[in-house]
Amino acid sequence: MSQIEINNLCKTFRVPEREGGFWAAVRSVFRRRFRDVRAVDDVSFQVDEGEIVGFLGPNGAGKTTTLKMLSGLLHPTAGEAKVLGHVPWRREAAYLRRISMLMGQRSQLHWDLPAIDSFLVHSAVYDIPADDYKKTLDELVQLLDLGDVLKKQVRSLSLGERMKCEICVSLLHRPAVLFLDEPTIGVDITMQTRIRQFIRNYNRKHGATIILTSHYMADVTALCKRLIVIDHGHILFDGSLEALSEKLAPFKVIKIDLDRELDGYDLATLGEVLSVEQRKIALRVPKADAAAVTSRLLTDLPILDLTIEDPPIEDVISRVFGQPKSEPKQPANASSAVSGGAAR
Amino acid sequence: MVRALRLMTLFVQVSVQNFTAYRFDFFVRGLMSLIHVGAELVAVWTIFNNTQSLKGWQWQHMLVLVGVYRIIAGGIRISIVPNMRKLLDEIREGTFDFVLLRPVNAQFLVSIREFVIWRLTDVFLGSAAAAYGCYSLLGHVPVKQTFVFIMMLAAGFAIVYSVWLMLATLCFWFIRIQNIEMVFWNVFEAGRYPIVIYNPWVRWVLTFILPLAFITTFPAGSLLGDPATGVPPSAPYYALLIATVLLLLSGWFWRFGLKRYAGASA
Repeated sequence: MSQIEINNLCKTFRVPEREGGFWAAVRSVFRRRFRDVRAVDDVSFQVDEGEIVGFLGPNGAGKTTTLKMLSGLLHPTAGEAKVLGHVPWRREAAYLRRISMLMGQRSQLHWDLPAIDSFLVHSAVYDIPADDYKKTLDELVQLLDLGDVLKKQVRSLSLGERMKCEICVSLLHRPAVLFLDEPTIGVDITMQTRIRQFIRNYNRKHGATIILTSHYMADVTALCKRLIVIDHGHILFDGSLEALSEKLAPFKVIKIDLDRELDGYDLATLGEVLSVEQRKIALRVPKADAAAVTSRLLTDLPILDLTIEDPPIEDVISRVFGQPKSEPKQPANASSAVSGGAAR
Repeated sequence: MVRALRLMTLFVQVSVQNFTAYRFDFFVRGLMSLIHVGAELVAVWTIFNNTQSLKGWQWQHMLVLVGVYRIIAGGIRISIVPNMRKLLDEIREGTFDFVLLRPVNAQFLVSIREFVIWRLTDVFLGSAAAAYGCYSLLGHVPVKQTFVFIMMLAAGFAIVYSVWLMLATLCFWFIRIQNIEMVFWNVFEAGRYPIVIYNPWVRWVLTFILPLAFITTFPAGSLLGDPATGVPPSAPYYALLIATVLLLLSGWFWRFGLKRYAGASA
């Protein structure tokens, strides 16, 4: 049964606009000009109970705006949405009690107090019975390995520790639906992996429905079977990770390792040469030609090793958004950024 | 209601915890409160060295007024200003979203989260000054008038809260209005003196437009019950009426601001 249902959701913002320069600034004081910006344009999708959906798109694509509408923070300009049977922007207490929104960029903890005090306040605000609170807290503390961290003043925590506390506080009331807006932003790779693991476990154990936005591809590939790609407020793609590469990148990457250096053999006739490093070569070929090219390579060249791979998902995505890959390849397990900074 | 009280108690507890982390501050700040009240009393003493009365207000009256001013200013600094300051910061930084995500009335929540406990010294010192002024004029502290006095203080406090809530709500339109606090205190200063000393038109403004008269002069006059202060006997009723109207109005304006926030913020 779908827990989140969105139909033709639109959000338009009016933003003031002016030319650069002194006189334009003076004029704008008397006569302001506005421009309508469609942040979310006719977005529809459904999410079933227990699903983890990755919401992907460059900056300003409309990801955060959509999440804000779903969590009741913004009214849409048009369209409908139902989450857990509620219209989110009515902000009924019964609804707010069952959802949680985590914003990686913003803290909901009391800066001067130990995190445990913020947790207590949270439990009172959500009216969590003492027994439930204790049980949930114990479980979360164990899963997130929070032990000593809880008693330290929040301002003295490392970013990773703080993020774990943020996750903990968002889950204390055991939300059935979770909106995670860049939950791993800024934390190191080990911590990213641990946070991902935790999210996956939480989803399995409690069957929570999760929508996740991230600009780390690895978050999305590790957690989400289903992706929704959004750009300029429109949904470009909604489906599985495999289907995404199928649809958006009908290519294979063939990597070969040669016995000796090549002499005058023109690889470009077979496909796009991605890299040549001494005797290691990578070629991108259309999926349909992969078999033929492979057999040509095997007959023509002195090959020691050959692999055929799907292109990395970050390549696929950056092709979609028409940007070059924005960061140099990081070491194993690293995540490369799809979009620059985070959308507000 | 029970839940609201429980929440409020919890926030007070948290504030006390927060405050115990800075114990040394308590003594320094307590001392500063003492100096403040001392300076105000010296000002009163100086004035009454030169004159017997200020438009009917004798030094005992003025002592009560200084006390009332301290109590109200203390109350504002204990809860209204810190909460509204936090609210303005949150709207500016975007963390206000977390308030809206909570299953609790947002206006209630933004009004009870912060308490600056050590400012209670202002309330104690102010009460002492008012009680002493009253005692030296009447020879006792009248019970019935004290009851009316406390009610008027509450009304005065509600008026200030409403004004502050409306000022803070403006932040939904104009993000940068932090110095509104300075403007507020500059106007509030006028409440140190009895309303009767001002020009008729200033008096009119301070009664009906910026109802400062209802916040300091009228409560002080009601405690003394002395016609010489020029405070009308009907003042308590008007205070209640104005407080109720302003509370309703500010609540409405807050909800209007919230709508605008949900409609326009990105």
